[in-house]
Amino acid sequence: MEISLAHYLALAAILLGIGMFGVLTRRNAVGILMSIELMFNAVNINLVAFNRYVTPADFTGQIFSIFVIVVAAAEATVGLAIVLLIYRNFRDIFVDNINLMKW
Amino acid sequence: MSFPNVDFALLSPSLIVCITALLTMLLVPFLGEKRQVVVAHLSWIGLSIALFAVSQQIGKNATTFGGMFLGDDFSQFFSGIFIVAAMLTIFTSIDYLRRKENEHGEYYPLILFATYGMMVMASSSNLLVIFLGLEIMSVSLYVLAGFARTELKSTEAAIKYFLLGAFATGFTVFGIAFVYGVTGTFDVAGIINAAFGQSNVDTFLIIGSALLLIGFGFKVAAVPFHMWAPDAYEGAPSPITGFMSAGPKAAAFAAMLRIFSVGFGSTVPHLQTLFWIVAVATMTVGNIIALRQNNIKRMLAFSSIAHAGYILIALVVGTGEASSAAALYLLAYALTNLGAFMVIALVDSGAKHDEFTSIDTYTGLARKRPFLGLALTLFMLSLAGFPPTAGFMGKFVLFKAAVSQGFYVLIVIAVLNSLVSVFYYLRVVVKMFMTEPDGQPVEVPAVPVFLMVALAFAVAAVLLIGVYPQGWFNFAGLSILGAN
Repeated sequence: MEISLAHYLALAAILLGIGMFGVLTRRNAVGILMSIELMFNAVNINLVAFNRYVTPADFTGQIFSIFVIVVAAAEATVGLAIVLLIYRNFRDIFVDNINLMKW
Repeated sequence: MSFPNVDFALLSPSLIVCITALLTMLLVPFLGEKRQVVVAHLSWIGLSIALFAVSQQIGKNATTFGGMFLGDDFSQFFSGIFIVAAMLTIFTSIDYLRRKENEHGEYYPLILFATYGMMVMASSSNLLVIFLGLEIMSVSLYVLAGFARTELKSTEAAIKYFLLGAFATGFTVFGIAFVYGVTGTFDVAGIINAAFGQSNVDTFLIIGSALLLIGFGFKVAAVPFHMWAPDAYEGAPSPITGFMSAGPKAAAFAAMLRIFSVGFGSTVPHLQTLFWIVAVATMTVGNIIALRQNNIKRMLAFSSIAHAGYILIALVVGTGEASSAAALYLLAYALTNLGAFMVIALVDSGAKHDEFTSIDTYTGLARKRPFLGLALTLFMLSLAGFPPTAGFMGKFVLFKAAVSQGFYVLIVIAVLNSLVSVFYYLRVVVKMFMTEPDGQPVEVPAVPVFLMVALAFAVAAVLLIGVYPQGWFNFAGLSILGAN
């Protein structure tokens, strides 16, 4: 079977779906962070696949995916630092229990 | 290998901000605990040099880095807003951090990094560069929101802001990927060229622009993506709340105006209708929930959501006049809100934790401190849109631009919303002037020198734009011509 653009897009869409499902259902802050990383990786697959099939002559899509990887790493660093801070202050990283401010 | 031809003069404002941030960040560990305030002074000096550099670049309308960095008047106008917002925030913070016993020098470079990100964001119409600017800004702001490390509310604000912000970023990049997949380019002009005039617009392009709209909707706190804003605004340190409501909002709108207003709106069907619905929902929900808030920071968070709704009108209308009206509105809103948060930060800094952020704290404030009371009254009137303040002029030019294109229903809804908003803004004024405190009124610290300068500047600017808007409007109007 020939692997076409549609296969890559389907894979990315499934990965994005899993990531979104994780963000909405996970209650552990680290779990949410991991789900967000999955979403970024879905984007990377999309970008690289589009680069290969839509504009094979240049590398703009691949370069964008490198930037996405860098940004995801920076966000993970800051995110884990904030989670650590939350753990120190609340002794808990379940987002349901971090609820001082309400409507 | 040849070095690309880079116009460093055009880059100078953002480069100065970035270099100041890096140098001050390096300096922090070498200063003792008692001398962290040096960083604050170096930061605002760096920002004032950058502001001078901005003034030198006005009217050039050039590009560099192969068209990836635009130095048009649109970006100079917004760079000016960001730099002034950062300076006023620093002036507000010096005494605030000292009183809260949280004097860590990293605070100021983080503000500068966020400012740099905003400037990058407003200075490009390439989705890659806009994305990078957005992230430089956001990552710095996540840290700033949680800067009061020992305060539970501040850390909660940081985690909520971070998780929802990163989630929204996922949508933004996914949207960018789809748009790229259809058009093969990240440049907005190229995207419009590729998509314009085609009889049936690609489904991926519609999905992509909808995802982009979701991502930016999160950043400007448009309904239904506004849930993070009240918590992040309430929990963050007061000067940072002011900064968050002024700078990042203006930056996100600058990018949105570049992406959607210039061509996407007419290229992609139904996008205008979508903007119409989001604008009405945002202003209505923001204003109605603000009515029943008792914490002044939370109330202003909902007010900020409502103002995002008004500015979204410019994206519905989509003309050049509406875009320049939005730019003027953002300038007026930034100055007014920063001014209001100067007073709020001063009152807040009277207590170690966040005891002094409820509206009841302001009971009888104007009797004891008439000038502070008058200043806050002016800012509240400007937010509500009373003449002769900046807020009135912003609303006036924006609504006029919409009416001239025949959006009567939208403007009737917006005006009714402004009427509702008067109620909760004036509630603060009534508390300050006409209510007797039960028992001892709250002790407000004396106004320190830097805050005095900043407050005087904000008051003067709000009045000046209100009385003499023509010059500013011309600049804002000029600035958009470059964008088109």
